[in-house]
Amino acid sequence: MRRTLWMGGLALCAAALVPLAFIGGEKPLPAADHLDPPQRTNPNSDETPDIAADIADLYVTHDDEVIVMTVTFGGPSAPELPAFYDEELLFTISVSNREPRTTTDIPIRFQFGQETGVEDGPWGVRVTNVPGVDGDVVGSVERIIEQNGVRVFAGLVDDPFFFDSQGLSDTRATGDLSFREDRDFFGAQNITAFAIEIPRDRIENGGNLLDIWTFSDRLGGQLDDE
Amino acid sequence: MMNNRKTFTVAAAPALLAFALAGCGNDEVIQAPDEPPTLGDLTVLSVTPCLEQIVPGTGTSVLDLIVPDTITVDLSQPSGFPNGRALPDPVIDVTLAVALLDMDVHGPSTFVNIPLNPASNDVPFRDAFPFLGLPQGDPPLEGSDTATQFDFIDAPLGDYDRVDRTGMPAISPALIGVPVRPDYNDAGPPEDEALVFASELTTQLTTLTQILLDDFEAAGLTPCASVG
Repeated sequence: MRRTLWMGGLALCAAALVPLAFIGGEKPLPAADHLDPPQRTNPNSDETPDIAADIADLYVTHDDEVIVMTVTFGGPSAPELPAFYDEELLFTISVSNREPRTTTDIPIRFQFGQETGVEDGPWGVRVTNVPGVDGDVVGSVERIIEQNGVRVFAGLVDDPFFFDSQGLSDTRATGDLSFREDRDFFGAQNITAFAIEIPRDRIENGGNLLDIWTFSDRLGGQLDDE
Repeated sequence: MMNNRKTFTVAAAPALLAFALAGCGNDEVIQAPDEPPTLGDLTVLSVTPCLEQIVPGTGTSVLDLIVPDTITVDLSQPSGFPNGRALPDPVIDVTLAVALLDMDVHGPSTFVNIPLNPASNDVPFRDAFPFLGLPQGDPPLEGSDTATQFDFIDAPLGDYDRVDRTGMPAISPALIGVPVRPDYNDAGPPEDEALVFASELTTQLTTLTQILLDDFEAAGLTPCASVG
Protein backbone atom coordinates (compact mmCIF):
# COMPACT_ATOMS: atom_id res chain seq x y z
CA MET A 1 0.00 0.00 0.00
CA ARG A 2 1.39 3.34 -0.99
CA ARG A 3 1.50 6.43 1.11
CA THR A 4 0.29 9.69 -0.29
CA LEU A 5 3.18 12.02 -0.92
CA TRP A 6 1.33 14.97 0.57
CA MET A 7 3.26 17.52 2.54
CA GLY A 8 1.62 20.39 4.28
CA GLY A 9 2.86 23.94 4.14
CA LEU A 10 4.31 23.77 7.62
CA ALA A 11 6.53 20.84 6.76
CA LEU A 12 7.87 22.56 3.69
CA CYS A 13 8.55 25.74 5.64
CA ALA A 14 10.66 23.67 7.94
CA ALA A 15 12.21 21.91 4.98
CA ALA A 16 13.64 25.18 3.82
CA LEU A 17 15.78 25.21 6.93
CA VAL A 18 16.12 21.63 8.13
CA PRO A 19 16.69 18.44 6.14
CA LEU A 20 13.56 16.35 6.04
CA ALA A 21 15.51 13.38 7.31
CA PHE A 22 15.79 15.07 10.67
CA ILE A 23 12.16 16.09 10.65
CA GLY A 24 11.32 12.44 10.36
CA GLY A 25 13.20 11.75 13.57
CA GLU A 26 15.82 9.62 11.87
CA LYS A 27 19.52 10.24 11.90
CA PRO A 28 20.56 9.31 8.39
CA LEU A 29 23.80 7.63 7.52
CA PRO A 30 24.17 8.74 3.93
CA ALA A 31 25.85 6.30 1.65
CA ALA A 32 25.34 4.73 -1.74
CA ASP A 33 22.47 2.55 -0.59
CA HIS A 34 23.99 1.08 2.54
CA LEU A 35 21.57 0.78 5.50
CA ASP A 36 18.66 1.85 3.35
CA PRO A 37 15.75 1.88 3.85
CA PRO A 38 16.70 2.54 7.48
CA GLN A 39 13.34 1.27 8.76
CA ARG A 40 14.34 -2.20 7.55
CA THR A 41 18.13 -2.35 7.57
CA ASN A 42 19.70 0.22 9.90
CA PRO A 43 20.31 -0.91 13.51
CA ASN A 44 19.84 2.71 14.59
CA SER A 45 16.28 2.65 13.29
CA ASP A 46 15.22 -0.97 13.36
CA GLU A 47 15.32 -3.54 16.17
CA THR A 48 15.57 -6.36 13.64
CA PRO A 49 17.69 -4.95 10.83
CA ASP A 50 17.81 -7.14 7.75
CA ILE A 51 21.52 -6.72 7.15
CA ALA A 52 21.80 -9.66 4.77
CA ALA A 53 19.17 -8.13 2.49
CA ASP A 54 20.61 -4.63 2.55
CA ILE A 55 21.88 -3.82 -0.93
CA ALA A 56 24.68 -1.26 -1.01
CA ASP A 57 25.72 -0.73 -4.61
CA LEU A 58 25.20 -1.87 -8.18
CA TYR A 59 28.07 -1.72 -10.67
CA VAL A 60 27.82 -2.35 -14.41
CA THR A 61 30.73 -2.32 -16.84
CA HIS A 62 31.23 -3.58 -20.37
CA ASP A 63 33.86 -4.05 -23.03
CA ASP A 64 33.72 -5.48 -26.54
CA GLU A 65 33.13 -8.99 -25.25
CA VAL A 66 31.37 -9.06 -21.90
CA ILE A 67 29.12 -7.25 -19.45
CA VAL A 68 29.95 -7.45 -15.74
CA MET A 69 27.26 -6.75 -13.16
CA THR A 70 28.19 -6.59 -9.48
CA VAL A 71 26.02 -6.15 -6.40
CA THR A 72 27.32 -5.50 -2.89
CA PHE A 73 25.19 -6.09 0.19
CA GLY A 74 25.35 -6.68 3.93
CA GLY A 75 27.80 -3.96 4.79
CA PRO A 76 29.92 -2.16 5.47
CA SER A 77 31.12 -4.70 8.01
CA ALA A 78 34.12 -4.89 10.30
CA PRO A 79 37.11 -6.83 8.96
CA GLU A 80 36.74 -9.64 11.48
CA LEU A 81 33.15 -10.46 10.47
CA PRO A 82 32.15 -13.20 8.02
CA ALA A 83 30.00 -12.67 4.95
CA PHE A 84 26.23 -12.33 5.27
CA TYR A 85 24.42 -15.18 3.52
CA ASP A 86 20.76 -15.99 4.12
CA GLU A 87 18.96 -18.85 2.39
CA GLU A 88 15.60 -17.07 2.67
CA LEU A 89 16.68 -14.16 0.50
CA LEU A 90 16.28 -13.82 -3.23
CA PHE A 91 18.34 -11.21 -5.08
CA THR A 92 17.47 -10.13 -8.59
CA ILE A 93 19.39 -8.19 -11.20
CA SER A 94 16.78 -6.88 -13.63
CA VAL A 95 17.81 -6.08 -17.17
CA SER A 96 15.59 -4.25 -19.63
CA ASN A 97 16.84 -4.34 -23.20
CA ARG A 98 13.76 -3.12 -25.07
CA GLU A 99 10.75 -0.85 -24.73
CA PRO A 100 9.26 -0.24 -22.28
CA ARG A 101 12.56 0.37 -20.57
CA THR A 102 11.05 0.12 -17.10
CA THR A 103 10.04 -3.53 -17.24
CA THR A 104 12.26 -6.55 -16.72
CA ASP A 105 13.20 -8.56 -19.80
CA ILE A 106 15.95 -10.62 -18.17
CA PRO A 107 15.62 -11.33 -14.41
CA ILE A 108 18.83 -12.92 -13.17
CA ARG A 109 18.29 -14.33 -9.68
CA PHE A 110 20.81 -15.16 -6.97
CA GLN A 111 20.26 -17.35 -3.90
CA PHE A 112 22.45 -18.83 -1.21
CA GLY A 113 22.26 -22.23 0.46
CA GLN A 114 24.44 -24.47 2.60
CA GLU A 115 25.96 -27.80 1.60
CA THR A 116 23.41 -30.58 1.52
CA GLY A 117 23.52 -32.96 4.44
CA VAL A 118 26.16 -31.01 6.35
CA GLU A 119 25.18 -29.19 9.50
CA ASP A 120 26.29 -25.58 9.26
CA GLY A 121 28.16 -26.53 6.09
CA PRO A 122 29.85 -24.27 3.58
CA TRP A 123 27.74 -21.90 1.55
CA GLY A 124 26.98 -22.11 -2.11
CA VAL A 125 25.36 -19.76 -4.61
CA ARG A 126 22.76 -20.53 -7.27
CA VAL A 127 22.11 -18.23 -10.22
CA THR A 128 19.00 -18.84 -12.29
CA ASN A 129 17.70 -17.53 -15.59
CA VAL A 130 21.13 -16.69 -17.00
CA PRO A 131 20.85 -16.18 -20.77
CA GLY A 132 22.66 -18.87 -22.74
CA VAL A 133 23.26 -21.15 -19.77
CA ASP A 134 21.91 -24.68 -19.59
CA GLY A 135 20.16 -24.89 -16.23
CA ASP A 136 21.41 -23.03 -13.20
CA VAL A 137 24.87 -21.84 -12.30
CA VAL A 138 25.73 -23.48 -8.96
CA GLY A 139 28.93 -23.55 -6.95
CA SER A 140 30.73 -22.63 -3.78
CA VAL A 141 31.05 -19.08 -2.58
CA GLU A 142 34.58 -17.65 -2.59
CA ARG A 143 35.28 -19.44 -5.87
CA ILE A 144 34.93 -18.36 -9.49
CA ILE A 145 32.29 -20.55 -11.11
CA GLU A 146 32.37 -20.92 -14.91
CA GLN A 147 29.58 -22.36 -17.03
CA ASN A 148 28.62 -21.90 -20.68
CA GLY A 149 30.79 -18.83 -21.07
CA VAL A 150 29.49 -17.17 -17.91
CA ARG A 151 31.52 -16.49 -14.77
CA VAL A 152 30.03 -16.00 -11.32
CA PHE A 153 31.57 -15.02 -8.01
CA ALA A 154 30.04 -14.57 -4.58
CA GLY A 155 31.95 -13.82 -1.44
CA LEU A 156 33.36 -11.39 1.07
CA VAL A 157 35.30 -8.46 -0.40
CA ASP A 158 36.57 -5.04 0.49
CA ASP A 159 33.71 -2.52 0.34
CA PRO A 160 34.50 -0.77 -2.96
CA PHE A 161 32.48 2.34 -2.17
CA PHE A 162 34.42 5.41 -1.03
CA PHE A 163 32.74 8.49 0.35
CA ASP A 164 32.81 10.83 3.34
CA SER A 165 29.41 9.98 4.77
CA GLN A 166 30.13 11.99 7.88
CA GLY A 167 30.76 14.98 5.64
CA LEU A 168 27.32 14.76 4.10
CA SER A 169 25.67 14.33 7.49
CA ASP A 170 27.54 17.33 8.85
CA THR A 171 26.75 19.35 5.72
CA ARG A 172 23.05 18.69 6.06
CA ALA A 173 23.08 19.33 9.81
CA THR A 174 25.11 22.54 9.81
CA GLY A 175 24.48 24.02 6.38
CA ASP A 176 28.23 24.23 5.85
CA LEU A 177 30.00 22.20 3.22
CA SER A 178 31.81 19.72 5.46
CA PHE A 179 33.29 17.02 3.23
CA ARG A 180 36.85 15.82 3.75
CA GLU A 181 38.88 14.05 1.11
CA ASP A 182 40.84 12.18 3.78
CA ARG A 183 37.81 10.68 5.52
CA ASP A 184 36.37 7.53 3.94
CA PHE A 185 33.61 6.01 6.03
CA PHE A 186 33.90 2.78 4.04
CA GLY A 187 37.67 2.47 4.34
CA ALA A 188 39.01 -0.64 6.08
CA GLN A 189 35.60 -2.30 5.93
CA ASN A 190 34.26 -5.31 4.05
CA ILE A 191 31.02 -6.25 2.38
CA THR A 192 29.42 -9.29 0.79
CA ALA A 193 29.06 -9.32 -2.99
CA PHE A 194 28.06 -11.31 -6.04
CA ALA A 195 29.18 -10.64 -9.57
CA ILE A 196 28.35 -12.12 -12.95
CA GLU A 197 30.22 -11.77 -16.22
CA ILE A 198 28.13 -12.52 -19.32
CA PRO A 199 29.02 -12.41 -23.01
CA ARG A 200 27.37 -9.20 -24.15
CA ASP A 201 25.62 -10.83 -27.11
CA ARG A 202 23.48 -12.70 -24.58
CA ILE A 203 22.02 -9.40 -23.35
CA GLU A 204 22.39 -6.69 -25.95
CA ASN A 205 19.47 -6.13 -28.28
CA GLY A 206 20.69 -4.30 -31.34
CA GLY A 207 21.43 -0.70 -30.48
CA ASN A 208 18.96 -0.56 -27.61
CA LEU A 209 20.04 0.93 -24.33
CA LEU A 210 20.23 -1.39 -21.34
CA ASP A 211 18.54 -0.39 -18.10
CA ILE A 212 19.64 -2.32 -15.05
CA TRP A 213 18.55 -2.33 -11.42
CA THR A 214 18.62 -4.76 -8.50
CA PHE A 215 16.47 -5.66 -5.53
CA SER A 216 16.25 -8.08 -2.62
CA ASP A 217 13.22 -10.00 -1.41
CA ARG A 218 12.74 -12.04 1.74
CA LEU A 219 10.73 -15.25 1.91
CA GLY A 220 7.66 -14.89 4.09
CA GLY A 221 7.93 -11.15 4.55
CA GLN A 222 10.25 -8.68 6.17
CA LEU A 223 11.94 -9.30 9.49
CA ASP A 224 9.89 -6.65 11.17
CA ASP A 225 6.77 -4.59 10.66
CA GLU A 226 8.66 -1.36 10.09
CA MET B 1 18.63 3.45 -30.47
CA MET B 2 15.75 3.92 -28.09
CA ASN B 3 15.89 6.99 -25.94
CA ASN B 4 12.39 8.34 -25.62
CA ARG B 5 12.47 9.44 -22.02
CA LYS B 6 9.93 11.48 -20.13
CA THR B 7 9.45 15.20 -20.28
CA PHE B 8 9.86 16.91 -16.93
CA THR B 9 6.40 18.05 -15.98
CA VAL B 10 6.42 17.92 -12.21
CA ALA B 11 3.85 20.60 -11.71
CA ALA B 12 2.92 19.66 -8.19
CA ALA B 13 6.27 20.19 -6.54
CA PRO B 14 6.91 23.83 -7.49
CA ALA B 15 3.31 24.59 -6.69
CA LEU B 16 3.62 23.03 -3.29
CA LEU B 17 6.86 24.83 -2.63
CA ALA B 18 5.37 28.15 -3.66
CA PHE B 19 2.45 27.53 -1.35
CA ALA B 20 4.71 26.63 1.51
CA LEU B 21 6.99 29.59 1.12
CA ALA B 22 4.06 31.94 0.83
CA GLY B 23 2.82 30.68 4.16
CA CYS B 24 6.17 30.85 5.95
CA GLY B 25 6.36 34.56 6.56
CA ASN B 26 4.04 37.20 7.91
CA ASP B 27 2.16 40.04 6.27
CA GLU B 28 4.88 42.67 6.52
CA VAL B 29 5.83 44.51 3.37
CA ILE B 30 9.31 43.45 2.34
CA GLN B 31 11.55 46.38 1.46
CA ALA B 32 14.11 46.07 -1.29
CA PRO B 33 17.59 45.70 0.19
CA ASP B 34 20.09 48.50 -0.24
CA GLU B 35 22.77 46.12 -1.46
CA PRO B 36 22.44 43.03 -3.67
CA PRO B 37 21.81 40.04 -1.43
CA THR B 38 24.33 37.25 -1.18
CA LEU B 39 23.33 33.79 -2.34
CA GLY B 40 23.03 32.69 1.25
CA ASP B 41 20.34 35.30 1.83
CA LEU B 42 18.29 34.11 -1.11
CA THR B 43 15.73 31.34 -1.39
CA VAL B 44 15.77 28.54 -3.90
CA LEU B 45 12.79 29.15 -6.15
CA SER B 46 13.09 26.11 -8.34
CA VAL B 47 15.43 23.21 -9.00
CA THR B 48 13.74 22.50 -12.31
CA PRO B 49 16.71 24.03 -14.21
CA CYS B 50 18.94 21.51 -12.42
CA LEU B 51 16.77 18.57 -13.39
CA GLU B 52 16.41 19.71 -16.99
CA GLN B 53 20.05 20.54 -17.67
CA ILE B 54 22.05 18.18 -19.84
CA VAL B 55 24.89 16.24 -18.28
CA PRO B 56 27.87 17.26 -20.44
CA GLY B 57 29.09 14.54 -22.72
CA THR B 58 25.98 12.42 -22.38
CA GLY B 59 23.05 14.12 -24.12
CA THR B 60 21.05 13.06 -21.07
CA SER B 61 19.29 15.34 -18.64
CA VAL B 62 19.85 15.08 -14.91
CA LEU B 63 16.24 14.00 -14.53
CA ASP B 64 16.75 11.15 -16.99
CA LEU B 65 19.88 10.20 -15.10
CA ILE B 66 18.07 9.73 -11.79
CA VAL B 67 14.56 8.79 -12.97
CA PRO B 68 13.94 5.91 -13.25
CA ASP B 69 16.36 4.69 -10.61
CA THR B 70 18.35 2.43 -12.94
CA ILE B 71 21.83 2.29 -14.39
CA THR B 72 21.64 2.87 -18.11
CA VAL B 73 24.22 1.48 -20.50
CA ASP B 74 24.84 2.40 -24.12
CA LEU B 75 27.01 -0.47 -25.32
CA SER B 76 28.22 1.57 -28.29
CA GLN B 77 29.91 4.04 -25.94
CA PRO B 78 32.84 3.58 -23.55
CA SER B 79 32.02 2.14 -20.15
CA GLY B 80 32.13 4.46 -17.17
CA PHE B 81 29.75 6.49 -15.05
CA PRO B 82 27.12 7.54 -15.95
CA ASN B 83 27.27 5.06 -18.85
CA GLY B 84 27.28 2.17 -16.41
CA ARG B 85 29.33 2.36 -13.26
CA ALA B 86 32.84 1.07 -12.68
CA LEU B 87 34.27 0.32 -9.26
CA PRO B 88 36.68 3.32 -9.22
CA ASP B 89 34.16 5.89 -10.52
CA PRO B 90 33.68 8.89 -8.16
CA VAL B 91 29.94 8.68 -8.57
CA ILE B 92 28.83 10.79 -5.64
CA ASP B 93 30.94 13.84 -6.48
CA VAL B 94 29.82 13.68 -10.11
CA THR B 95 26.16 13.25 -9.20
CA LEU B 96 26.28 16.10 -6.70
CA ALA B 97 27.92 18.37 -9.28
CA VAL B 98 25.42 17.76 -12.08
CA ALA B 99 22.45 18.04 -9.70
CA LEU B 100 23.61 21.17 -7.87
CA LEU B 101 25.82 23.22 -10.20
CA ASP B 102 25.14 25.07 -13.43
CA MET B 103 26.63 22.83 -16.13
CA ASP B 104 26.90 25.82 -18.48
CA VAL B 105 29.50 27.19 -16.07
CA HIS B 106 31.04 24.13 -14.41
CA GLY B 107 31.83 20.58 -15.42
CA PRO B 108 30.71 17.27 -13.88
CA SER B 109 34.19 16.83 -12.41
CA THR B 110 34.15 20.09 -10.46
CA PHE B 111 33.80 18.42 -7.08
CA VAL B 112 36.13 15.59 -8.10
CA ASN B 113 38.83 18.11 -8.90
CA ILE B 114 38.55 20.01 -5.60
CA PRO B 115 38.50 17.13 -4.38
CA LEU B 116 35.37 17.06 -2.26
CA ASN B 117 35.45 13.42 -1.17
CA PRO B 118 38.09 10.69 -1.14
CA ALA B 119 39.30 10.29 -4.69
CA SER B 120 39.67 6.54 -4.69
CA ASN B 121 39.18 3.35 -2.74
CA ASP B 122 41.53 2.64 0.14
CA VAL B 123 42.73 -0.68 -1.31
CA PRO B 124 43.41 -1.62 -4.95
CA PHE B 125 40.90 -3.44 -7.08
CA ARG B 126 41.88 -6.74 -8.67
CA ASP B 127 42.73 -6.58 -12.36
CA ALA B 128 40.66 -9.65 -13.27
CA PHE B 129 37.15 -10.90 -12.54
CA PRO B 130 35.56 -10.28 -10.06
CA PHE B 131 37.71 -7.10 -9.87
CA LEU B 132 36.57 -6.35 -6.29
CA GLY B 133 39.32 -5.82 -3.74
CA LEU B 134 40.29 -8.62 -1.39
CA PRO B 135 38.60 -8.48 2.03
CA GLN B 136 40.44 -6.51 4.66
CA GLY B 137 41.67 -8.01 7.91
CA ASP B 138 41.51 -11.75 8.45
CA PRO B 139 37.80 -12.63 8.30
CA PRO B 140 36.58 -16.24 8.05
CA LEU B 141 35.90 -17.19 4.42
CA GLU B 142 33.33 -19.89 3.86
CA GLY B 143 34.07 -21.45 0.49
CA SER B 144 34.67 -25.11 -0.31
CA ASP B 145 36.60 -26.99 -2.98
CA THR B 146 34.60 -30.16 -2.44
CA ALA B 147 30.98 -29.17 -1.89
CA THR B 148 28.83 -29.61 -5.00
CA GLN B 149 25.31 -30.00 -3.61
CA PHE B 150 23.61 -27.18 -1.72
CA ASP B 151 20.13 -26.71 -0.30
CA PHE B 152 18.40 -23.87 -2.09
CA ILE B 153 14.83 -22.88 -1.36
CA ASP B 154 12.40 -23.24 -4.24
CA ALA B 155 9.38 -21.10 -3.46
CA PRO B 156 6.97 -19.11 -5.62
CA LEU B 157 8.00 -15.51 -6.22
CA GLY B 158 4.75 -14.44 -4.61
CA ASP B 159 5.96 -15.77 -1.27
CA TYR B 160 8.70 -13.13 -1.13
CA ASP B 161 8.42 -9.51 0.04
CA ARG B 162 10.63 -6.66 -1.08
CA VAL B 163 13.28 -5.38 1.30
CA ASP B 164 15.57 -3.14 -0.74
CA ARG B 165 16.25 -1.90 -4.26
CA THR B 166 18.84 0.24 -5.97
CA GLY B 167 20.02 1.38 -9.37
CA MET B 168 21.73 4.74 -9.57
CA PRO B 169 23.95 5.32 -6.54
CA ALA B 170 22.58 7.21 -3.55
CA ILE B 171 19.22 8.22 -4.98
CA SER B 172 17.20 6.83 -2.11
CA PRO B 173 19.52 7.97 0.73
CA ALA B 174 20.20 11.42 -0.72
CA LEU B 175 16.99 12.43 -2.47
CA ILE B 176 14.20 10.53 -0.73
CA GLY B 177 13.12 11.54 2.78
CA VAL B 178 13.33 8.84 5.43
CA PRO B 179 9.55 8.49 5.94
CA VAL B 180 9.10 7.74 2.24
CA ARG B 181 11.98 5.27 1.90
CA PRO B 182 9.98 2.05 2.46
CA ASP B 183 7.51 3.03 -0.25
CA TYR B 184 10.32 4.04 -2.56
CA ASN B 185 12.10 0.73 -2.09
CA ASP B 186 8.88 -1.23 -2.57
CA ALA B 187 8.37 0.51 -5.91
CA GLY B 188 10.33 0.16 -9.11
CA PRO B 189 11.13 1.80 -12.42
CA PRO B 190 7.48 1.94 -13.58
CA GLU B 191 6.57 4.06 -10.55
CA ASP B 192 9.71 6.14 -11.00
CA GLU B 193 8.81 6.75 -14.63
CA ALA B 194 5.28 7.76 -13.60
CA LEU B 195 6.90 10.40 -11.37
CA VAL B 196 5.29 9.00 -8.24
CA PHE B 197 8.26 10.30 -6.23
CA ALA B 198 8.90 13.47 -8.21
CA SER B 199 7.75 15.88 -5.54
CA GLU B 200 9.90 14.09 -2.97
CA LEU B 201 12.97 14.26 -5.19
CA THR B 202 12.35 17.93 -5.88
CA THR B 203 11.82 18.81 -2.24
CA GLN B 204 14.98 17.04 -1.10
CA LEU B 205 17.07 18.59 -3.87
CA THR B 206 15.65 22.00 -3.01
CA THR B 207 16.56 21.53 0.64
CA LEU B 208 20.09 20.43 -0.14
CA THR B 209 20.59 23.31 -2.56
CA GLN B 210 19.23 25.84 -0.09
CA ILE B 211 21.62 24.95 2.69
CA LEU B 212 24.59 25.04 0.32
CA LEU B 213 23.95 28.39 -1.40
CA ASP B 214 26.33 30.32 0.81
CA ASP B 215 29.00 27.66 0.38
CA PHE B 216 28.66 27.84 -3.38
CA GLU B 217 29.13 31.59 -3.26
CA ALA B 218 32.19 31.28 -1.04
CA ALA B 219 33.68 28.74 -3.44
CA GLY B 220 32.84 30.77 -6.54
CA LEU B 221 30.38 28.15 -7.79
CA THR B 222 27.17 28.88 -9.65
CA PRO B 223 24.15 26.81 -8.63
CA CYS B 224 21.83 25.47 -11.31
CA ALA B 225 18.75 26.32 -9.26
CA SER B 226 16.92 29.54 -9.78
CA VAL B 227 17.05 31.73 -6.68
CA GLY B 228 15.46 34.96 -5.63
